[in-house]
Amino acid sequence: MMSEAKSRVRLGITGIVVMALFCGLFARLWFLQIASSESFAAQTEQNRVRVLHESATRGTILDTNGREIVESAFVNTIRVRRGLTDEEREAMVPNLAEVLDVTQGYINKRLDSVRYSPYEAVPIKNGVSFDKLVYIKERPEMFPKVDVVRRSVRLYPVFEELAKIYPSLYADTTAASHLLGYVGAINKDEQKLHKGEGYGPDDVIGKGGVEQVFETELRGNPRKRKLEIDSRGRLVQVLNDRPAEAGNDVQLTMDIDIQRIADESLVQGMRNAGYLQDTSVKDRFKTYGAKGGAVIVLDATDGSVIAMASRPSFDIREFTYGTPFEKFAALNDPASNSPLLNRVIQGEYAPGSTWKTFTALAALQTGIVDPEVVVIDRGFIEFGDEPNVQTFKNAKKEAHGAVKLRGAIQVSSDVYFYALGFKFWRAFSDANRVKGYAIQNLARDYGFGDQTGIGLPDEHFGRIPDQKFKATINKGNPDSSTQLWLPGDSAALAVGQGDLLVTPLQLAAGYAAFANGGTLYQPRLARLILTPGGQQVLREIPSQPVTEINLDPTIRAQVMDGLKDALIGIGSAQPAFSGLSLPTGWQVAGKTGTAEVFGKQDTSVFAGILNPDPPEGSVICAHHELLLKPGCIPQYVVVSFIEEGGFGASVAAPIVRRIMEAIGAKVTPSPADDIPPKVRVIREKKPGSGD
Amino acid sequence: MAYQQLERQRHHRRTMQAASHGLDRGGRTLVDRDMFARLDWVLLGACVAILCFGLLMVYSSSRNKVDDDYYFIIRQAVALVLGIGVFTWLLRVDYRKFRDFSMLAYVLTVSALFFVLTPIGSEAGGATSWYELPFDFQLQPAELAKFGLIVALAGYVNEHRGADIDPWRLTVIIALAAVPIGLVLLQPDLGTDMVLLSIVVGLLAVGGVRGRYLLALTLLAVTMVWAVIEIGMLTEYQLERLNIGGSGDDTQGSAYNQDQSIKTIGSGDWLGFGLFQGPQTRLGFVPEQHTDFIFTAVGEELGFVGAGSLLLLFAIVLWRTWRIAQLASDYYGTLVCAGVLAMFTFMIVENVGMCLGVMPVTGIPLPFMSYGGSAMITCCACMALVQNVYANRFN
Repeated sequence: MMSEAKSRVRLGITGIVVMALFCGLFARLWFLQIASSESFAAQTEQNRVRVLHESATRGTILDTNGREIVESAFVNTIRVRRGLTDEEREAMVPNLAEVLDVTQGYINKRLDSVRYSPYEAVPIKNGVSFDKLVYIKERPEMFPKVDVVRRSVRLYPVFEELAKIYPSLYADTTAASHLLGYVGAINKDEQKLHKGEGYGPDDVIGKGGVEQVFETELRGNPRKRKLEIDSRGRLVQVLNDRPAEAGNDVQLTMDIDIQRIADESLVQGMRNAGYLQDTSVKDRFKTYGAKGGAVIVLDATDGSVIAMASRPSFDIREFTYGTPFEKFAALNDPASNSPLLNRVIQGEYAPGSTWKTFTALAALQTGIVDPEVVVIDRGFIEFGDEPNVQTFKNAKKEAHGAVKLRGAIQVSSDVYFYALGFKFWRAFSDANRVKGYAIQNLARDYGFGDQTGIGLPDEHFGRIPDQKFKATINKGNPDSSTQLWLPGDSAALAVGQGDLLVTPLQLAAGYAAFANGGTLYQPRLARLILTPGGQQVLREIPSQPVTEINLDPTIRAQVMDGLKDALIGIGSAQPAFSGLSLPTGWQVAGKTGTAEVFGKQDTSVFAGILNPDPPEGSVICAHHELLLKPGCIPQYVVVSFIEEGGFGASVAAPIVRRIMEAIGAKVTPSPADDIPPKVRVIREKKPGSGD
Repeated sequence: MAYQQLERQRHHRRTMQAASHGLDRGGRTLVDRDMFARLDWVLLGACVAILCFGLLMVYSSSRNKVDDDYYFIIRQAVALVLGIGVFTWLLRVDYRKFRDFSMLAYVLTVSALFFVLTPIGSEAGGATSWYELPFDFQLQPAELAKFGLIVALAGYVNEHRGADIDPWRLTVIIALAAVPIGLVLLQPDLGTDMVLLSIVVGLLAVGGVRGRYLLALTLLAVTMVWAVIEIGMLTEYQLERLNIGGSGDDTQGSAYNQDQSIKTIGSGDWLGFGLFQGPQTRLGFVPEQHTDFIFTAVGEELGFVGAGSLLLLFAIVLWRTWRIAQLASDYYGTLVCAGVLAMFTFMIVENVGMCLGVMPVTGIPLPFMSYGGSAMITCCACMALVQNVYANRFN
């Protein structure tokens, strides 16, 4: 039995092989279960747990005085539940399309859309009338799996009220669109950005304006249900149901009355520009286009945004209830002058002569000029040696004669400021960067060339030109002189022209810092966060000083005197401000600007300061404190820009004047010109009522 | 040899005791108590423990599959009762009788496999592999063929014991095995074929074929499996189950099955989620969990402790089978045990390895655990053979 003995050896080998295989299995089991168990448990949870969110009631947006600007209400929404058979669907879709007045394709597209979870009903239409609801509800055989829920939408009570008083002006909700923003269905990019915050495919999200900035406050916490489903997608149990928490209310710094006047004045100013003849061209019948404009009212004491208007505008209500596609396309079309653009923060303009304030400050602070030295303004100035003499002219080619600094600001003498520009350029060419770049450095201190940090989306930076900027932008240009900082560059910068660009908000914030004695504030949109329903203050949003600028009171006074004079006597803005009616003791100062734009008509600019210096014995207080502290006076900066609007004095200045008068009238109200004040009713809100 | 003498004395004493209660009744009893006294109780205990595991897990993984929670478990219990019946009946027959009738076993196996391909057999899932029985039961002849092949091939190898297997006899063995393997391939059922091949390889390895023949044979087998897939004898469904050419993100195919399987076992940790508590098992996220992927239910609900214990029990079964192969009183007994050992090893390693993601996905059941009557009866029959060899090791 030799073979049997051998087979024992073979059996032994077999045994070892079997043992080795088993050791392998054990090792693998150990590795899977013990060495790396965490991640697997999480992965299997993804199989069975579905999280569904249901939006909470969105918070109310109030103006600085507590008036409800935007609130939430519920509308009836028609939905189609999941689980339709093909035949049911074929029969139901035409019926539903007929009743809801939409196309069958529209319903089918929504039903097939991957945006909706296969466990949730698909919303088809908002705001369906009661008759139609009854019709649908009474005929379940015609409308299988069709149901109705109440969904939260935005309402604009103030504008509805205004529409009753001024039907033509407020037929559409456009007066504060850029400031308020709107809510709309979340898109893919936003969903990616807010991943993990529980936004469903049909949820709405704040877009632009306050709605976007305070999204987290306004939104509240959605109802969150954790469901356990089996492999066939059937609900097994509800693991967790967290109720919704309504969103907080946001109280803005904006004053709706001033906002209304600001927007109205802007519209009116733009319309008036259309009747003015463009004197810069020969054509007698050429008037100004005035296709776009911006107005901003800042509280100079704390940087609060009191009003912010940009035109052309759009109807936020249309966004709330769904915008027809073709209309949306028109809104984005440059041919309609980009209504979605918030020109206050996204429009970049040359500030023109309004910039002279900062040139003067830079010249005085660096000591490059003695304010008492007289310059003879002959209407033009020449620079350079023969034969390369360059001639720079005044805007209207008129000669202002002998002017000092104060007078030069008053009459807006370009020649005086060109001369300053050349002084800066000489310092620059002598390699004195402190003096040579004094305007640029001062501009950066006042917040130019950077976002103000107001928080609104896509704020633009503006532009402060210097030698480095020219070298970068003209890189590769065969003419190497374009990369140099030339005398003309300094001269243009001194009068707010050339490559300099600012946003209206930057100019307002810069003027506010100058007006309040040197504190640059980050513009503020809201001042309070309130509990849902507004009963309690949850927290305050303090004003945010960015920097304390070193501003010598004497220098401030020297420049401010010029700005005050500009509105009186032979001042450039005197015509626009003659007969100004303000409460006693109030003062104004300001500066016109007419900025040349290559290939377009001039931009009309005005920057005004209301109450630059408080009269003896009175104190300056913030806008929202006016009612609390009687006798104190407020301080504002009002800036307006009109694209292709012509002279600052003729278009932008009257807008500012109107706004200033309205502010004055509001603080000392005359009953005729005001919307009756509404007592804020504390509404009863069911926190978190979903549907 | 002292140990063997001691064993022999103990065995004799037990036989005497058994004779005193059993045989004096004059006649054969239904359960041969004498036989039972001589069983390997460790092996039997391990098998019973695995069966208990199996019933619990079949219930756990199948109760939410159909409306009647007890549908699968009742059928499995019926199969187990039948299996116990077969086990008891086979124990009453001396295994050497199988040696003498091995050719008959071969003919029966081949006929069963042949007739299932005729209209007598029925088709399901693209394979003609069932005989329909009353009460909605099915018989899978390919499962029984495993038992048949062990008995038959061991018989042939045994007839030519005493020398190494020469090329001629090797050819005969391969030809003998090729017939049932070919018939199963026609069903087609590649998984069972691989088990049958493992039996052939096991018998040849222990039976004394030279290493290089064994190597050549293994290569041949691999080539054959490859050829079968290439020729396209398998349907899409079976290819998918074999995990060949399967892509990673295929949600319905075998890659998905194995991915779920790994996650399910991986989430078990030390003690698992508790019996009937495993979410993947409870909610049915592992396809084929009550049959081929039953090990995942153990892994998830009983954790490393449970799954490890199950593997240990299987190791005990294999160890005792291996030991009995050595203790066998004749060469045929050794060969039969070697065949069963090879078959069980392949099935366990392939099935558990598949669940753990280290072996390809094939439709091979886990012995005593997976839902399926024919496999259960076959496993019981094979265990009966091994116990039979043990009980008769001194005769």
